[in-house]
Amino acid sequence: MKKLQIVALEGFRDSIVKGLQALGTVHLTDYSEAINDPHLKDLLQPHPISPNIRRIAAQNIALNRLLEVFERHDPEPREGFIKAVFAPMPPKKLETEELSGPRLLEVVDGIIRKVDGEVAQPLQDLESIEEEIAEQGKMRGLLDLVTSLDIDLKDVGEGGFTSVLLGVAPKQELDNLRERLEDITDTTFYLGASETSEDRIVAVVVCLKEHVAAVLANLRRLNWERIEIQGLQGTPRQAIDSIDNRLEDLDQEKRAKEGMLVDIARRRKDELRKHRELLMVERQREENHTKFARMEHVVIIEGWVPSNSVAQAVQEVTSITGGACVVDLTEPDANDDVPVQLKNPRFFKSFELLTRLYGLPTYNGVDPTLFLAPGFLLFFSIMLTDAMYGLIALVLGMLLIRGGGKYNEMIKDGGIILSSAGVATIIIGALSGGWFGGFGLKLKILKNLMIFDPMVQVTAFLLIALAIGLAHVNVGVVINVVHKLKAGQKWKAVSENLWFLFAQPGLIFTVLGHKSLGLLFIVIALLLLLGGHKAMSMFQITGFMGDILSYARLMALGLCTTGIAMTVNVLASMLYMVGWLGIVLAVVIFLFGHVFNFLINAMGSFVHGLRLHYVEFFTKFYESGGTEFAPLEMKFDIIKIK
Amino acid sequence: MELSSGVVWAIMGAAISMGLAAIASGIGVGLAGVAGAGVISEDPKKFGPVLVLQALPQTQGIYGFLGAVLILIGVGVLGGAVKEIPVAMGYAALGGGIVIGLSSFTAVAQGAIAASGMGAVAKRPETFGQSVVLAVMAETFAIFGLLIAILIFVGTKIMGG
Repeated sequence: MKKLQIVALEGFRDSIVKGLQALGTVHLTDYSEAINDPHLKDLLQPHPISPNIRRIAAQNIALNRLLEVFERHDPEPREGFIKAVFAPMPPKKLETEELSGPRLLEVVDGIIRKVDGEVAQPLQDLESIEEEIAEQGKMRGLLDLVTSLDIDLKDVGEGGFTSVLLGVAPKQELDNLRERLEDITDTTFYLGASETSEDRIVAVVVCLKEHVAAVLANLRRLNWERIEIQGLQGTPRQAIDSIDNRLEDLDQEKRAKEGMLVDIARRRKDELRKHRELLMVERQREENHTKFARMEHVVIIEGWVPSNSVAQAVQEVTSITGGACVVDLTEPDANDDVPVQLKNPRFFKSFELLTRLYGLPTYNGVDPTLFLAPGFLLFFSIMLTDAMYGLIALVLGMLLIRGGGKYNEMIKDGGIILSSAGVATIIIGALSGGWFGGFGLKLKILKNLMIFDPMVQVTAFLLIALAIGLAHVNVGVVINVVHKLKAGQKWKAVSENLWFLFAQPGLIFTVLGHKSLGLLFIVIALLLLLGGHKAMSMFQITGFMGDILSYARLMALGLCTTGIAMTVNVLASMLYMVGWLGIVLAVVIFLFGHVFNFLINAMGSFVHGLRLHYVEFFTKFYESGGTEFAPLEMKFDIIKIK
Repeated sequence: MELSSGVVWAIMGAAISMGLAAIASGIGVGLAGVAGAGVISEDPKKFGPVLVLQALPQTQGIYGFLGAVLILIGVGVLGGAVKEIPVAMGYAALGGGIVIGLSSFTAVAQGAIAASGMGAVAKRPETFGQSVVLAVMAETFAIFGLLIAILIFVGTKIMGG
């Protein structure tokens, strides 16, 4: 990486940023802090926020609002998870003209105005139609309560001298109602009632207008609920029929309006989405303004460029400004937070996914991906120990690569990891006789492949697991020593973990009887240990022991897969003996059991394989905490520039 | 069929292995599930990562199951004729069952870590991998428990004998 500093006339700012974005190789950094530098303080000013940011945000909101309206009326078909991962539709690419700057903002404003104009009327109509549907529905609900009354609804309400009231009340209150009405109105009333359900009645009360207030107040105490119906004619049944007719009409009108919106959506959706994406790219560019510093007529832009892209970036800036600029390139110094770009050969590149999960290495740190990939495959396969499960993993991985992997790098990486883990598991599984547990061993050819029986040679399996652990930890220690020496940190190289490399031959020589040679190594190891870790030395020893013992999980989880596969086979074979129903059940148990065992143990092998790297291996040499190299780039998801 | 008391002790071992592991895993999965329901009530799309985190404390239950099955196969209760085994061997099987059963209580802690991990994933989905690794740490001791049990079974010829 090289640090790139560009000093150019303010007028070139936008074209420079656009040029860099098109190149996609410059990671812009925040230079506004330089204003606090006492030497530069009088020269530099902070760069103002781009005035366009606000306008872009408002346009973005407007576009999203319109797209939401379209989504509501004409939803995009969605793919289910399985389909999206294994057999997705190819993403649709929309062709568009290159458009940016003030011109883009103007065009977007125009589009928003146009589409807003198109949808405003249908949306408003739709709203009032829906309101009326709700009102009519409510009225219909009320009428349903009074269908048993044979009255003309036009009489309900206030007349010249009398009022006609409608309402429902509990059936047992009917007599009380009558009594109360007699009292209040001095017997000048009419009460007609009919049952609506088992315990409720609907009642018409006619009384003089002057009594209405008192009547309503009293009836309410008897749990009378007034039904307010106005502006209707005919019997309740006739009124319901006319409401039903109206509702039908409204429904048709509603569908027509929705059809209009769907039409508009189909016509305009792509246009809106296309411009939304152009706007995003524009915003990315404009947002960077606050990272710059400026003098009266000059802007200063700072960023990082990978060494192999330097010439191109410099040439781009020079040609944009016609040479009227200063481009300064410097090596990173110790205080710089230099962004990190992982570079691995194609197959290993997929495993960067697993490195990223832990955290990116620091700049100048070791990229552990090359070491992680083989270790992970070995551990995964030892813990899954079944060739058939390996085959399932391989097939799933291939499906991922050929399905979602075509359009999504992460799915592709996942597919490559899974299928290569599958291949490794097929090999280890064949060697250890795992073919759906011992099921496949009935075939002689498969039995001949088997060189190791984990269920029988249990102690040997444990020793192999620990030996692998010891080797793995040693690799970690060696990487650390080599890397620290390369980086010129000699004391760290010697003092951190080197003691462990001396302690092992020391112990071996002692055990083999070369006591003095053994002692020499042990003394060196102890000196390194005490020199490097002082009072904490003891914990170094226990820590390393714990780390190596932790690899015993390779054996325990390997046996777990084999053991459960064996259990499934035992259960299935017991059922197989008891008639045709037993055979059916045996097949079901066999399939279901092995799928379950595969899922649960593939997941276990995955996380424990990672854990052995993250916790036992990485701690020996790896420093994470790097910043990802994120260049300013033109990244389009759905559009293709013509 | 007459059972020797050695076999009965071994069966007790299988019962303890599976029984305790079931309780512990159940509590762990429960703790995680309660948190998971909270997360998906806010964002149903997080069901996938939440489910994986909730599944982690189930592993101890599987170790318990495996331990029990290994004992049952070892003494011939499953998949063969019941063997005559000495009482001392039965005690050894019981010991193996106890170590698996007790060490499976790491599932409770794992459930709590998984629950917090779900909280982390709810706020920042990119922490999913890290959350899984944190939760898996608690499982180490259950694996050691299983390992010791297997060594007991092998050493006393319950397995492979």
